[in-house]
Amino acid sequence: MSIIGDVKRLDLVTRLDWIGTAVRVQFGRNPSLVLGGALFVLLVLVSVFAPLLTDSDPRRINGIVRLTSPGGDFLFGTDNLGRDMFARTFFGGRISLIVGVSVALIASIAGLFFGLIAGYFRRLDSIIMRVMDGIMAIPGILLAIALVAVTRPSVGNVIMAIAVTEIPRVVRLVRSVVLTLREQPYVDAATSVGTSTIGILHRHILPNAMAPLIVQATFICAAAVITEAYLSFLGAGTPSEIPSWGNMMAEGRIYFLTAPWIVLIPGGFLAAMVLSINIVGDGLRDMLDPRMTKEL
Amino acid sequence: MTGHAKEARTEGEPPLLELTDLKVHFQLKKELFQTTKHAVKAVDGVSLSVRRSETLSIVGESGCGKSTMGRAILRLVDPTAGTIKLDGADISRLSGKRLWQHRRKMQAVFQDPFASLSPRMKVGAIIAEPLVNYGTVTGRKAALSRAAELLEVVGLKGEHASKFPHEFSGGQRQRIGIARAIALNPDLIICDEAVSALDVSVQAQIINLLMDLQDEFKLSYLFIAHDLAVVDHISTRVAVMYLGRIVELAHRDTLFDTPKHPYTEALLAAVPTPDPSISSAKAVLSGDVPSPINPPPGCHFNTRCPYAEDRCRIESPVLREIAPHHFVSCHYR
Amino acid sequence: MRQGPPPILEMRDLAVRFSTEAGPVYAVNGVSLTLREGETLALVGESGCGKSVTALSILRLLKSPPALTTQGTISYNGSDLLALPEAKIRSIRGNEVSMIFQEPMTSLNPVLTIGRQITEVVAKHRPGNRKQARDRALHMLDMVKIPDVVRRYAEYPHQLSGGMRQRVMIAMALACDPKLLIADEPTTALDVTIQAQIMELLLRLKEETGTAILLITHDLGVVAEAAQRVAVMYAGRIIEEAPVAEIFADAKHPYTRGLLASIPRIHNRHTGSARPRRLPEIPGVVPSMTDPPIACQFAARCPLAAAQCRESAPPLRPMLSNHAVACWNAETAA
Repeated sequence: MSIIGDVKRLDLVTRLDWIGTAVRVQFGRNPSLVLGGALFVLLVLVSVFAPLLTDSDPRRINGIVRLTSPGGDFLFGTDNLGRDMFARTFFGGRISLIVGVSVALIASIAGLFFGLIAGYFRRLDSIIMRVMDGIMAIPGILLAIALVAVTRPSVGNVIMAIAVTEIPRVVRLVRSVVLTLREQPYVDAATSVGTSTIGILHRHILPNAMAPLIVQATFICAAAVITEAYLSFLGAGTPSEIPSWGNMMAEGRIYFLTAPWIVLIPGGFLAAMVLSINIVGDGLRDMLDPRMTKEL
Repeated sequence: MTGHAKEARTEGEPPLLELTDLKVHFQLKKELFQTTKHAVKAVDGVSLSVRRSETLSIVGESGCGKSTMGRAILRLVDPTAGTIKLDGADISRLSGKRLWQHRRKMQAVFQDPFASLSPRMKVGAIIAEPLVNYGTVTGRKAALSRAAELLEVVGLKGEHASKFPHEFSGGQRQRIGIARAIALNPDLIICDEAVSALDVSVQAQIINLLMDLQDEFKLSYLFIAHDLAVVDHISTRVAVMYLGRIVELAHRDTLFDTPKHPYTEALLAAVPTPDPSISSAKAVLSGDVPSPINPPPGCHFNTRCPYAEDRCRIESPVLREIAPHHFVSCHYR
Repeated sequence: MRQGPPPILEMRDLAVRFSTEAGPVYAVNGVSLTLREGETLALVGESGCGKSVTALSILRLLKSPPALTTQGTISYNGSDLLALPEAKIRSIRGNEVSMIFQEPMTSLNPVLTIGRQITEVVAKHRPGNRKQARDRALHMLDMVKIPDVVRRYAEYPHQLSGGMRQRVMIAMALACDPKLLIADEPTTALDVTIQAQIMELLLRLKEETGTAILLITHDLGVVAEAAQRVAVMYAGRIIEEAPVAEIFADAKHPYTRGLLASIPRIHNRHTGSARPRRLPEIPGVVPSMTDPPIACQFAARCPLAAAQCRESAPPLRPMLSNHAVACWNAETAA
């Protein structure tokens, strides 16, 4: 059993090597990918290390300094309750990231699981795909509002609502990839040498299905960040006591004419985050394209 | 002469592989308003046997069902009817663990040396996979060194085990595929157009390798091919297929020397000879191979046969032994 | 010097390079060819030897980038095809010089009827009205022995078999009475009985129309049956050129000899000669075209290779009146 694991480990080393080379090649060929990646990493870092960047509590209300313009003591100004926009923006970024990454992970793992089954076991295919068609018919926003209506607003609900509606798309993608891969002669060859179904899925199909899945996951991540924002904007998302870019914009919208920064700053960060994730996704798609890996 | 002597000697032994009335039909999806279901009769009642240490070639044009037959024997597609006996055991209905136990006796070499190796696995892991599956070696060191040995058996170097398939040429990849096929010491190897995708000079290398391995490991080959010159070189016996059925089956020399079925004659005449001094006054067969969805009634070959008569359009000929070990499916031969 | 009909195509010192991720690939390195009126010249070689690239260069059908013609001239009718303006070359393509490919399905437009596709070629290059073009198309389909021409005229490529599609391609290629037909592996994708039909058709049409054919193939059997002269390519160069009978009877270059020896043949049982159990093989692999050796390309695999072969590349030199070889040891080999 372990030889394949051993070769796998060797694979990992060469693959890391290969990624290093690929990044260098990409830098020359596709500077926008590298810039997009850098922007994304920067946004992740400031969100993750938000507590180190500022002492102020993003939830502390201070009526004296309400609606202060950006600059001076408050770099990004304050909102209508006098809360520090600088702290709120970076803490808000955490929510966007948590939602984006969690949704991408949950949808990818669940989608991969059901997609592999639907694509490889033809008997289960129509059952799984009809269920997925059903789920696809549910509008994500309505599902989130319904979930909030029966329970209460929470980040977990937001993640669940978005993830559930994203799963069918991943299932379709993985299924179509598996349908192509299972017809490959190397799958026949593996069957002939006595490889079990699990072994075929694990060693021959999964590794070749990963590239499109990773690309899809980045786009899901970007979409989830936006969906979280507008759910929060509608009040069906992140509860108002936790700052998120969506509910910050929602609260700031009535002060837009007098204090536009309350909307523009989180809006700008949201746009930057989504843009950077999409650029990374596009770049990965080019990079993981098998026709190019062959040449590398 | 030696070939015949050998054949006579092996006659008494039970065959390694025996197909009895094998059928593989693919059901087509019923179209709207269509009352009857159509089926492609890819393999339509094939009976033959492969003896130990012989090479039985199956020749025919694309769509004749020869590859489907190979896939059915390997149990990559399910047979619709008939039996497949491998070493005395009927494997045509087996599945799961019991089929798995029989699989190691037959292995396969596929046509496309680029698509038959997993692109993201190293060569060592590809060759070790069958060994690991059947636990024939214990420990990863043993499996890796066995893989390296096998690479040397097929004319590559042991250190090639740590490379990826795309680092090799077509001929080298086909060697890797052969190393994987012999890893389990099988009795039978099904070569599905195993040299068809290769260039001439490389093809010669691979044909020689297959023949050397046959001598060394007492292998039997079911050699599926469309190139008659290759078949003439490598075979002990040859079966000619047309639209899912065997039309002629004989010892190689008999078949090439005195072909009896009109289709075999035409097939042999159509092969271009690499010698400009031989004038090629040949009777070119007219028309195309009919669709296997709707084959002509009677003898399937009647639409292209220069000798076809009324009987051929009504009655299907059976495969009869017209001379010792020479089987032909034609009313008039 | 050899006599014969005037040359219609003269390729001099053609070199083509491809730029890839892995660096430049030198696909064709100094190929010279002469094709005379009404002649069939076979360009033979194994995959990757540059024969198709050479053929595609003639009508400038290579996509650039990645392909780049770095040197050479291809003179046709007194003008250099490589230097002609795009509009001019378009008027030659499919008209004076036409081409057929290995896979007819990809060369035909799947959403147009075959009749319309031929009619359009005719209407583009020949004077006359639509009706005359249509008549010409029907005539061509009849000439390539398509049964039931009027019905087939209105059919789409997917309704035809592979052999029929190749017939349609030939009809289209010959519709404007080309002086030169470039056939790139025309029968490789076809079954042997269909291949025989198509080769017979090509040869018959050549007799009737007198067009010259540049036949690109790897199949030496097809070469023996169809060609008058043969040029053998190896790793981007022509290494031997001779009349077909000479190539098969008295090849001079070690590669040509190795190639001929390694083809499995249907054994001639009437001569009673012994059949070799092993096929003679050419050891080793084709050199990488990203970094081709400066010396003789074949030296690493050649049984006769000497010091000189590893230092400089032999030019293609005439040995007899019409037999040229690129080998330092050609005399000793013979």
